[in-house]
Parts: sequence; structure tokens; C-alpha cells
Amino acid sequence: MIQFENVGLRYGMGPEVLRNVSFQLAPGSFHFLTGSSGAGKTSLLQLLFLAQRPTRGLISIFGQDVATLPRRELPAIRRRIGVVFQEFRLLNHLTTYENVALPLRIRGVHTDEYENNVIELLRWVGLGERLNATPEILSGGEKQRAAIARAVVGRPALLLADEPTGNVDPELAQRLLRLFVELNRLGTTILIATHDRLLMNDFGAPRLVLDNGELEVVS
Amino acid sequence: MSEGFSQTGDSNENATETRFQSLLSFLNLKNLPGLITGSYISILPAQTKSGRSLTIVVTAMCYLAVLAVIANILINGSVQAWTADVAKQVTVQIKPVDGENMNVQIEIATAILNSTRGIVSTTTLSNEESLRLLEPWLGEGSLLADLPVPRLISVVIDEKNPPAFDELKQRLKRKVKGASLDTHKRWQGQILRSANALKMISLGILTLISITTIAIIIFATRAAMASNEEVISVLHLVGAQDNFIAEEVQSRFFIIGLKAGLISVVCGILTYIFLGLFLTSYFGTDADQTGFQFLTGQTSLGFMGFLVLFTVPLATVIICLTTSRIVVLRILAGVL
Ligand SMILES: Nc1ncnc2c1ncn2[C@@H]1O[C@H](COP(=O)(O)OP(=O)(O)OP(=O)(O)O)[C@@H](O)[C@H]1O
Ligand SMILES: [Mg+2]
Repeated sequence: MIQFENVGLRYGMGPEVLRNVSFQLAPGSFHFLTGSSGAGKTSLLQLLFLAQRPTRGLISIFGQDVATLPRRELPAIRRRIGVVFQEFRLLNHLTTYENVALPLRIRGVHTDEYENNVIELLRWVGLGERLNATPEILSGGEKQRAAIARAVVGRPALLLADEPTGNVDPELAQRLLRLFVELNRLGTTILIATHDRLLMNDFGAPRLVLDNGELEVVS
Repeated sequence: MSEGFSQTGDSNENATETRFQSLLSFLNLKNLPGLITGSYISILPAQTKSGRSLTIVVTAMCYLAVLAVIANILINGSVQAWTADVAKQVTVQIKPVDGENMNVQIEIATAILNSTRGIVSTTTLSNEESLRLLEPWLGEGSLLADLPVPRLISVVIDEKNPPAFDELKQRLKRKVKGASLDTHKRWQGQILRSANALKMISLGILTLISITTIAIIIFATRAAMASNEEVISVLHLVGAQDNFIAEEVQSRFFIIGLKAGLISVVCGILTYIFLGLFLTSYFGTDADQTGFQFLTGQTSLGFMGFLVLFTVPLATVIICLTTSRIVVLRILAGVL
């Protein structure tokens, strides 16, 4: 489903942040992405959700070569990818509910069709009482959960999460991991970037380890 | 985790759109009812302050446009009224010539005129009437009473079947010394030329206003895009199409354009009414004040004129929608 071949990425004239990265994600697989801070985890995810183009190498997503994708086909692919951003990127002028419903709204789905689902999902991540709060007044952990809810609400085929448990206590981290596991069971391919050893040990999924821009697969 | 998440397919995206629908969506009119009732809530943050100043600027532009349109309509109306009257009439002027009896001259001329085909009637202005016409130039007083004054015969012609003017001219010249025929052609030509010049000026003003408005909307759209960069980036990353983002921005400018256009029409009509009242009370409705005739209600905007004013809000809305859309799509084409 996802294939990287000798992918390299550099920002501007800087050094290569990713070098010769090659790996595959099979449909329905579950992987962790790990590595020290600054190793390039976020950069790798950005390549996956089409926010960056590689400076070299070949990336194919859902069987399509990213390099030859015309711009107008990007939205359709992005709708099949759910992303939990490291810095959440919730929209401050919208309520938690509206933020989570955003991916559905931009698809032109009518409110009546998603309202109950969105509320149910928000209850599940423990934000049932915070539906009408704006992100500005949410705690870090609450924002994180809202970001996760927004990523999964469209039932993506691929879920990319950048440090999704960085701001929550171990107990809640477990609960959120269960959400990802449940999604994975329903067929979603999952890639979670994290340094959380506890989390990775709890769930023995294969790891993609980034070190100094190079990637190694540890199963 | 609920099983209930409906598969949110893109089925309607693939639906073939008719040309008309794509035009409507190009102008982003499909959200129209919600936009007008206010039930449509934008994903972009509200920008009340910058929105208000933009509305004021665009309203000022529209107001000027409404005034230019009113001027244009009034000029057209006045020209029509004047030229219609004038076209029905010609004038024969008989200058006093030594040794000729004026009254005899007039009789001969009248006889010639009445025997000419295409002439409906003739009216000879009396000596006093002729004198009065000269008053504005020579002043009142008996000084003139003894002076020989040219006499005028006003001739009403059959518009559909006018006389052969050249032939008539020659005949009058031969039979009546000092007679000349004035078909008002030159005067009419002058009026038309000045009126056309005024119309060109008002059209030029309208063009300038349109260009300025387009420039204003371009700047405002760029500013809106820049200040909403994060929101737009997130919308992109969750899979929003350029079209969707464009419509969000467009709907904002639609409201601004509609408000500005309607307010300016109301202001324009009020200006027209008050200026008319003011000039009437100042100069009176005297028909001689032809310069102000069109403002004193003798040439009015009329029902059609009022309807024509609504082309201004219409044009404004179209300018706002298309300009903002083009700018947004251009900017988005540059991002991944
Ligand atoms: N937009 C950018 N422009 C220039 N350099 C960048 C940019 N984004 C990231 N980098 C650089 O790329 C390298 C990898 O950054 P990245 O954010 O991918 O690391 P990371 O593994 O996600 O780190 P962390 O665990 O702290 O989130 C870093 O050295 C960083 O400085
Ligand atoms: Mg990172």
C-alpha cells in the first residue's frame, strides 16, 4: 500500500534529513516509527501525507506514484489518510465538535449524517463534556484527543499519528492505543511516531527506527 | 468505537454537472439562501473589523458608480426629450432689408411654406415676441422698440414625411430677401456631441470604478488568504479541494459586495431625490432653466431607470465573486 524506495529529503540547501529510506507498509499493518528527536520522524510523515515532496527516490501511496500525481488528485488521496499532527493543528475559531467534524464537512457530508457519530466519537475519547469548547481552552491532553478524533472520524485507510500520546498520562495513552488497535482491526493501516518505549513494548508491532536520517526496520 | 460511521464517498463529485450548474458553482451561488439568511456558517474565522472597512470602501465605489449610472440615464432622457421636440420644428428667419416691407415679406414666406408638402403649420412670432427673445442679450427697454428686428416663423413639419429642405431653402432665398431656413441641425448636432461626450465621461468613470473595485478585491482576497494561512493549510491536509476553499472565501466577498451594492443604490436614489428637491426649490421648475431640467423632475429616472440602477449591485457581486475566486485559485495552485 505504501512503498518508499531510496527516498531522500532535504530542506532547501540544507543537509539531507532523510537518506536512502526504503520500506513498505502492507495494507492493514501496524507500525511504530521511532528515533531520537530531530531524527526526521515528522519529515517522513509529511512525505506520507503529501505535505512535502521527496528530493529524490520513489514514493508510492495507494499504488500511485507521488511524483506524477497531478495537484487536483491530492485531495482524494488525503481524504484516505488521517493525520494526528505533532502540534495538533486544531482550528482555534471552531469548537471541538466542529474541528472533529471538519474532514466530513469538507467532503460535503450533511450535518445530519455525521452529528451523532462525531458526538459518540468525542465521548469515546473522553471529550463528551467539551464539545463546544474551543481548542484554546482545552488542556494539552484534551487537544491531543480532539486531534486524534479528527484524524479517525473519516475512517481513513491510513492513519499517521505523530507523538499521539505525548501529552497524556500512561493510562489514557493505553486507552488511545486501544482506539488505534481497534481501527487497525477494522482494516486501517497504522503508523505511529513515538518515543514512548512503554507504549511500544505494550503492543509488539514492528518498528521503523530512524537514526541520523537512515531507516531501519526492526520487527 | 462506533460501526456507524457512514462511508463518506465522493459519489456526487463524479456526477456530471451541466454547464449552467458549473456556472452557478463558479459564482458560488449554491450557498446563496444560507448566505442571505445567515444560516451558512463559514469555516474561515469571522473578520468583522477588516470586513467592515472593506464594506465601506466597496460601498463608496458602488455609490460613485450609481451616481454615474444615474447621470447617464438622465443625459439620455434629456437628449431624447430635446431632440424629439426640435426635430418637429424648423424656423424661418427674415432679416429686415432696406426697402422691403417686413409684413409683405412674411406673407410671401408663409405662402411659400404653406404650399410646400410636408409642412403641417406655421406660426409667425409677433414683433413683441421676437423682441422678447432678444432681451437676454440686449436688455429690457424701449430702446429696441424702434430698431428693426429679425422676425421668426416657427414651422411644424411632418416628421415622417419632411419637406425637401434644400429646395425650400432655395425657393425662400429667391422670393424673400433676407430669409433663411434654420433646421436646427447644427444645434442638434452640438447637443448630441456634448451629450455623447458626457456619456463617454460617465462610462469612463464606471470603468475606472470597476477596475479600482477589482484591485481592492484582489488585495483583500490576498490579505484574507495570508491571515488564514494556517486554516487553509489544515483544510488542505484534511482533503479539502481548492474549490471548497475558494467558495469559503468567495462567500465572504459575496456578502460584502451585496451589502455594498444595495446600500449604494439606496444612497444613490436618496441623493437623486434630495438634489432634485434642492434644485427645484432653488431654481424653480421654470422650463427655461433647461440646464437643470433633468434634475427638476422634467426628465426623471423613471421606473426603468430605477431598475437599471440595480445593475450596480449585480455587477459588484459578480466582480467580488469572480475576482476573489480567481485570486484564491491562483494562490492555491502554488501550494502543494
Ligand atoms: N521546515 C523545515 N525547514 C528546515 N529544516 C527542517 C524543517 N522541518 C524539519 N527540519 C529539520 O529536519 C530535521 C528532522 O526534523 P523532524 O521534525 O522531522 O524531526 P522529528 O524526528 O520529528 O523530531 P521530534 O521527535 O523532536 O519531533 C531536524 O534537524 C529539523 O531541524
Ligand atoms: Mg516530530
